[in-house]
Amino acid sequence: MQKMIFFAPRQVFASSEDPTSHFQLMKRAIEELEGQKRELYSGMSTQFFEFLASTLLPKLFYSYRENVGQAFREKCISIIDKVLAVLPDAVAIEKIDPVSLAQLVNQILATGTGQQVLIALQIASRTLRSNALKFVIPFQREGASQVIMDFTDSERAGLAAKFDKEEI
Amino acid sequence: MLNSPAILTLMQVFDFCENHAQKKVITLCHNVSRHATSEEQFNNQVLPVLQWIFPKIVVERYGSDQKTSEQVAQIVLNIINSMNNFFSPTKDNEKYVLKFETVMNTGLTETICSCLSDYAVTSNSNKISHAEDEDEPMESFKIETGAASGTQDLKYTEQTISAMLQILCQGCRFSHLLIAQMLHGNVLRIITNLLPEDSQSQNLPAYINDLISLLNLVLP
Repeated sequence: MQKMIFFAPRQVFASSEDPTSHFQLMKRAIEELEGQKRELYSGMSTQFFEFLASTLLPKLFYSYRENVGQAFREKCISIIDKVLAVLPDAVAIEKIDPVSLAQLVNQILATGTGQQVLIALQIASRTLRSNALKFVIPFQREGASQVIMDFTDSERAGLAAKFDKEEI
Repeated sequence: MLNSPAILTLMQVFDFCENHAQKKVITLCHNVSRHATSEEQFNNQVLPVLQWIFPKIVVERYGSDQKTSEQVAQIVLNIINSMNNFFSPTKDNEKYVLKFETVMNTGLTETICSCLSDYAVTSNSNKISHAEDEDEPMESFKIETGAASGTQDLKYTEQTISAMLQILCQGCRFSHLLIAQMLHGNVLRIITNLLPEDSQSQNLPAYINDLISLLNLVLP
């Protein structure tokens, strides 16, 4: 008995670079949503930002310290970074406790994963840029500056060793 | 089951049933809640169930108790997730968002927010009275009852709150209108109140992951 084999037409997926592909459509939608969110935040009052700095941030610091799950911690730091990004400089200077922020950055640098360290460095650079005078001393006292220096030293040493090997 | 008139009939006679039978009806709704396979079926069969059932999420309304509220929250979440069976946010994002906003604007967001607010107030007052009790060790020799120690029973379980936060997460993932509603309607403050504080030194609640996900979605 002869068997009939039917072939279905091959499904063709649009490449990710194609502007009509699902990936590009989704990317555009997300970018649009992020833009709309930024617009929303730009219209918020100072009281709202003060609330973020004085109430939400300390609670996030505490949640980060209390939970040891890496995915949770990564999300927590990411939120802290987002909050610091939307805060106006004046509110950040007035309302953020520099010691607890320096302790958090130090803790992340000491125990965090690569991604967490990256976000912690971003947080450090963001706060130091907004007001170096207020944040530098707590960062030095808590040891965060030293850890960052050690990072850069070890990175330099690694690069030097790499160049030596290539020369050999 | 979805296409039969059974669910419609049960919805109509629900108020005349005894408690045990009402719980059976809720369980039945729970089973059918995630099975919509087309937009037409969703609009005609599932959406009426959603509109009928979501007010029962509020404890003490329509005789709902803690367990019923937890189940209803899960049903609402299932129904919202079932939209993914036939809508694709990657394929037609605008349509998906529009549908979601229509569902949320039936009063679901306000109901959820009032429940969250209620929970935040009760749990915070309980934590404060608990902390006061710890400060006064001699007082702990008293015979404690709910009223005497100043603590109130929480109306909602942590699982109910978790499901509610997941519903809001689904909305905030795609709709900027819902985010605007949350920012201008003090919902962010309510959500922040649900986060644990350093001074209260308590264990992290079961809904903490959903809470953090929601905050992550609300911020730009």
